[in-house]
Amino acid sequence: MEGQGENDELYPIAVLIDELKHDDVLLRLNAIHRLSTIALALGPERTREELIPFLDDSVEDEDEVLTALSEELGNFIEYVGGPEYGHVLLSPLENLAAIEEPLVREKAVESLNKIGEQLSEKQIEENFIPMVLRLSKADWFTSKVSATGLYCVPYRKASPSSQQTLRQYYGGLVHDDTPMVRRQSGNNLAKFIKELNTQIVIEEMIPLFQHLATDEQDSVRLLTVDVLISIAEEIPKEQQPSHGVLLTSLRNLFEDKSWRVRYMVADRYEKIAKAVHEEVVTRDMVPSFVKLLKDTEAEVRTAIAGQIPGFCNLIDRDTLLNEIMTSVEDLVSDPSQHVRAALGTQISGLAPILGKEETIAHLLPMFLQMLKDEFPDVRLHIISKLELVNKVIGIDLLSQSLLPAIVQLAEDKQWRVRLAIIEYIPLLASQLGVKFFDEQLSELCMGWLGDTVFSIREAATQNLRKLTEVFGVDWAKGSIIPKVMGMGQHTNYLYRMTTCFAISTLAPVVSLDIIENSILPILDRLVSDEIPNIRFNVAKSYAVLIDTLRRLPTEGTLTDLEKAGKTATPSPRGQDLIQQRILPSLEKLQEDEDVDVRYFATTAAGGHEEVMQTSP
Amino acid sequence: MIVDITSRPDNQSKPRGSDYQHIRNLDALIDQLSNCITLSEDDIERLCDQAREVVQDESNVQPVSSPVTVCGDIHGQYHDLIELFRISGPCPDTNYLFMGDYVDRGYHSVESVSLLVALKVRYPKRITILRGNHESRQITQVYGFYDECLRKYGNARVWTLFTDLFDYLPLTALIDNRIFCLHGGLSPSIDTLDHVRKVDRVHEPPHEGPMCDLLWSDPDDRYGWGISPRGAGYTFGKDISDAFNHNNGLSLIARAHQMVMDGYLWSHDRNVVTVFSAPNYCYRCGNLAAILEVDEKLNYQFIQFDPSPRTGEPTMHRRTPDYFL
Amino acid sequence: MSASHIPNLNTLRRGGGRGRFRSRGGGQPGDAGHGSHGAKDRVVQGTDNDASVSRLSAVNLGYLDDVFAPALTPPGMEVRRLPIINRGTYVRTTTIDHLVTRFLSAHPSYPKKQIISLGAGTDTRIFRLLSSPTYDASNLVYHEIDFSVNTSAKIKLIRAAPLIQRVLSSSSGDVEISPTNDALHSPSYHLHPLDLRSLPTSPVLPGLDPTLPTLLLSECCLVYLTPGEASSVVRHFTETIFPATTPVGLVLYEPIRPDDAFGRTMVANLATRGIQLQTLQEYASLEAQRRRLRELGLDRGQAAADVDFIWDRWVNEREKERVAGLEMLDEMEEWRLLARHYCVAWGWRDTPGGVFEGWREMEGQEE
Repeated sequence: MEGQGENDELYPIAVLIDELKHDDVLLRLNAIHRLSTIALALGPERTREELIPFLDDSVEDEDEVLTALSEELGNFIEYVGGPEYGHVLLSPLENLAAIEEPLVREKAVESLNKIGEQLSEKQIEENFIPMVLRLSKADWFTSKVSATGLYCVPYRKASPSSQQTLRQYYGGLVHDDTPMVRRQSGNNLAKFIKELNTQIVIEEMIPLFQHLATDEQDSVRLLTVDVLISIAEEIPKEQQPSHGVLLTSLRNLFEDKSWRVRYMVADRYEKIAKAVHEEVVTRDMVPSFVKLLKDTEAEVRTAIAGQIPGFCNLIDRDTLLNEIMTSVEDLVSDPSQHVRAALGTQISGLAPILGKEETIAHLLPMFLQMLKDEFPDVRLHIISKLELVNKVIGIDLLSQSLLPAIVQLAEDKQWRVRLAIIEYIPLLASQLGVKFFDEQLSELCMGWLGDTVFSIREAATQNLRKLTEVFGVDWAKGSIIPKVMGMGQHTNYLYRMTTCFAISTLAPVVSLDIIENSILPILDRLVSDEIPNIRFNVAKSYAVLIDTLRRLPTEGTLTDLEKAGKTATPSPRGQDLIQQRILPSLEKLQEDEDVDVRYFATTAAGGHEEVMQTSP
Repeated sequence: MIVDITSRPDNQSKPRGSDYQHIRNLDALIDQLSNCITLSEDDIERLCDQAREVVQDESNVQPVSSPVTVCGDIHGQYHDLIELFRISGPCPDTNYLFMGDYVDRGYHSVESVSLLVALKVRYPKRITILRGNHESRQITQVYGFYDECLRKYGNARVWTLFTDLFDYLPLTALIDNRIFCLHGGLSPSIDTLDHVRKVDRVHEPPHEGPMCDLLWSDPDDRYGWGISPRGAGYTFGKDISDAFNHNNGLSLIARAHQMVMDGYLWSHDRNVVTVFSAPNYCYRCGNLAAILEVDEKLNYQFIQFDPSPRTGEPTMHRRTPDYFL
Repeated sequence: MSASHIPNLNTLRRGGGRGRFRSRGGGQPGDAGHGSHGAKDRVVQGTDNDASVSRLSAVNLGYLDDVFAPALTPPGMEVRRLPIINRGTYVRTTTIDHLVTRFLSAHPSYPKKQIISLGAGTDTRIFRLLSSPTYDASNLVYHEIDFSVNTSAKIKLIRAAPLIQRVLSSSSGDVEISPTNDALHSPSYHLHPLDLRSLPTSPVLPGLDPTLPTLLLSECCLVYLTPGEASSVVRHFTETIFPATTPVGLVLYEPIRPDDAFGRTMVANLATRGIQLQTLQEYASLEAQRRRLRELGLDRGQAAADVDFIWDRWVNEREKERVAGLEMLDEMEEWRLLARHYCVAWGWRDTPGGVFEGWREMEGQEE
């Protein structure tokens, strides 16, 4: 019987092994994903001696199977007997690192590095480094491409002489004939440099960088931007001026004839500026910045627009004003909407740098124009970042100059633009104060309650709740509640329904007094509305009110309580209201002629829980 | 099993426990569909069974009370259907009347029609779904719904279930006896609403005859009846709609069926309006969509909308429509 | 847990592969040379698949009669296109057929005529002409130019199609294929592997006779080049290669009207596939197309019409009825939109009464 049991246990393993060589690729894929189960069943020794050689053969499989295999093997050390046997995994992964499909190679390299981390110095010297050198010298470019990603891990554990060999081989990859290999060597060079000391970087890596930076392929050159940053970060700034070649290469990259290289430069501009000597920033990078702002390619201008506050933070204010600002201002009317949108997300970041006076002089006119941009994203980006400007120039000035534009956007044809404005209102309100709000924005907010788009009406009620939290319940009682209740008289049911929604939304921020004297009377009327949709929304509002009244004290609101972290005795008046004003209405609704009204009324009355318990 | 609480005697008028179970199941399905998650085959089967019981008793000229939001073609543009609900409000809070063509052309016919059918089963009084010319076995095999079912379920069963259900959908609706709603247009074989009521509708739409015409015809500038360039139905002129509206006491015919660049288009001196609710139809036409909100006094307004923005979805994964290249 | 009764896995090891090429040695070592052009070109090369799949769909449904379509559609790509696409393919093919037939049947005093098809892809027109009973193939020299990837793919398909080989050898005599498998030469048919942009700096195409009346054909080809490159390609023939006395006609089939809602959506949709229609803005209207033809020196006549117009005016009622009967075309509004955004334009230079004069009778469209 015991043997039988073991058989049962092993049966799935046998199935998996069958699947490993099955014709159906999905089954093979499944088996590969469960490789660890097979290995566990076989034990470490048989895994090393049978499973690994078997997998070695699998290199002839479909790419997706090989991708899975490459990934699985990275976690396989424990199944072959621990790190001391880890090197047996190198062989299948070495084969996988040569496969044509990039994803397979990528996963193989990842796994090799994972395994390399766990190997001893001896295993690194005897197994890992020879493998890296083999891949680096292989006939076919795929192996070499993989090799470029395998230098950092062994380098840390290698002897000085092996380190020298590794650097020498890396140099070979940088000088390879195939652009793909040069590209990947450039890609990984920045990381490799982090493993090296300053002296070696200066003596050996700068020449490699120079070689790549003058490559005929722009796809190679563009990768050297990161290499340059990496080198500059490694060399102390005061030493940099003595390495003129770096500066020359930097200038060449800024002026590269390929826009893709210039794009890369633009995209990393702040990073470059932080890595190089201050003198280079003022002398070279400021004029180049202006040039990139005027680049012929929209992609480049988009990228450099993203760097505006980051870079401008690194230079003095006079330089910014005298040399850069005009070109930044020109971007406001850039022909590409993407450039303008990128500018929109960044431009507010200049306010703290410029200070109040210059923000008013330079930024406000830009905002005004961008708030009228035909592309909605530009308008949205400006609005969502106004807070930064507010901190610099103060809300009075901001609202005075921008309010007309905001009011205009509040009526934008695109409802999503209107929505963005609504979401910005509570912030604006808290900064403007109640008086200004009542005078300038109140009407707008109430107008949204009657918007033709449901989502705007819904957002409008959310907005009222947030405003009540800002200005307090007394303000709400005078300014909001009458208008909300007024909507309940509208001739169109969709707008009367807004009153129901608003009641549910506002319940946590209103007091018992408001519920009793303002809300319940309007619901009393709506409960016999001729449109069933209103009646069942009244039922839904009742449900929320019941829940509110069960917890609400005589004074204050539920949100007040929550903020204070207190519990309070519910007001007995609340219980009375439920019993006398709400439940009778709900009972009436439970007998309604409309099925949906009966359903929501029953649910609101909590009836269904009972029913659920008693029904079979 | 179908909930019909309305027909129950008064002493049992509150929903019972088993009804709640049923409602909870439906609400779960609607939740699922609201996130564009395809239902299982078994769920579809149950849903179609329940939907058949609901719609088979509806009239060929299904009476609908105002207020209601009237919508045209959807064509599997699920995200735009969700946008439509964002604009006119969720069902059941807002009442809806859809005038057919839920499937074909768009990438999410299955999810779109499942959602509408689930809403119909859950809220029979709040939503009316008519039959369009694409709710047909023959057309869906050419225009994509059949292929989509095969792709998403691996077999044609879901397609069979839905197309069997389509046979039961009402052909037209009548709002407060004044606004006549249907997918296509009028038919030379039909003079009165009673003629429509007498049509035997429970089968695949034929290639000609009154049922075919209701699903296929178009209004036209030319007077009288004309041959339709579509190969089915007719074109009808202002004289025809004048007479039909007058004879039947109608103020308006609202119909769908034709893509119009502004989402809605008046014809025949406001006898007829076309409403089309699939923006950027087939992801290719660049048109606006529109819906028609009719309030309880039969005042109405059109609301136009753009395609739902599809941020977060990688551009590469969207298929583009065919062009000549 | 031990697993003594699991057989030794080494006994299961497979010898050979699973039919997949061993990874080392396949493919080209990189895209040296073209760099950033590479990706865009591959996308443009891929557009031929769209065209051949559409063609096969239209043939299978009876819109077009083309026995060569199945053999020249890459295997496994058979798709039924939507009715409006089928109808569009029908109009596109038959319209160009009309213009070609007018040219070939005109003026028997010219014994030989020449056609150069730019970016021909897997086009079947040459095989249809060679096997046509009404036309003497020995009077025709037909050139196709396309990227090497596309010509070698076409040669591969031809090699796999005995039907095409029979047509080629019986009507065209000796067929010679280059050792690189991307060029084909026979007395009547030449397939040139060439990036059109390098045309001005390339040696004269083998088999090209600069004295023969020549029809240049661009079916959605020049539109992918910049306006400058596109003009250079045409001028290379009309000005550099051919003497001014050689009659030359140009037929273009291209999208137009990029600036209305449909056009904007089309441009945006194609851009997500990486396809840029580079001349579209320049030649956005029928009038612009006619002006373009005039400026290219095709001064005897220029005309253009959109596909909607051609369907309306060129296709006779009986044929319309036949085609409309093939499939229920529900989407009339969409058809009109789509068809209004593609045009055929034709222009020529010639002596009065020359071989292209027949084109004068083809009805163009005022704008």
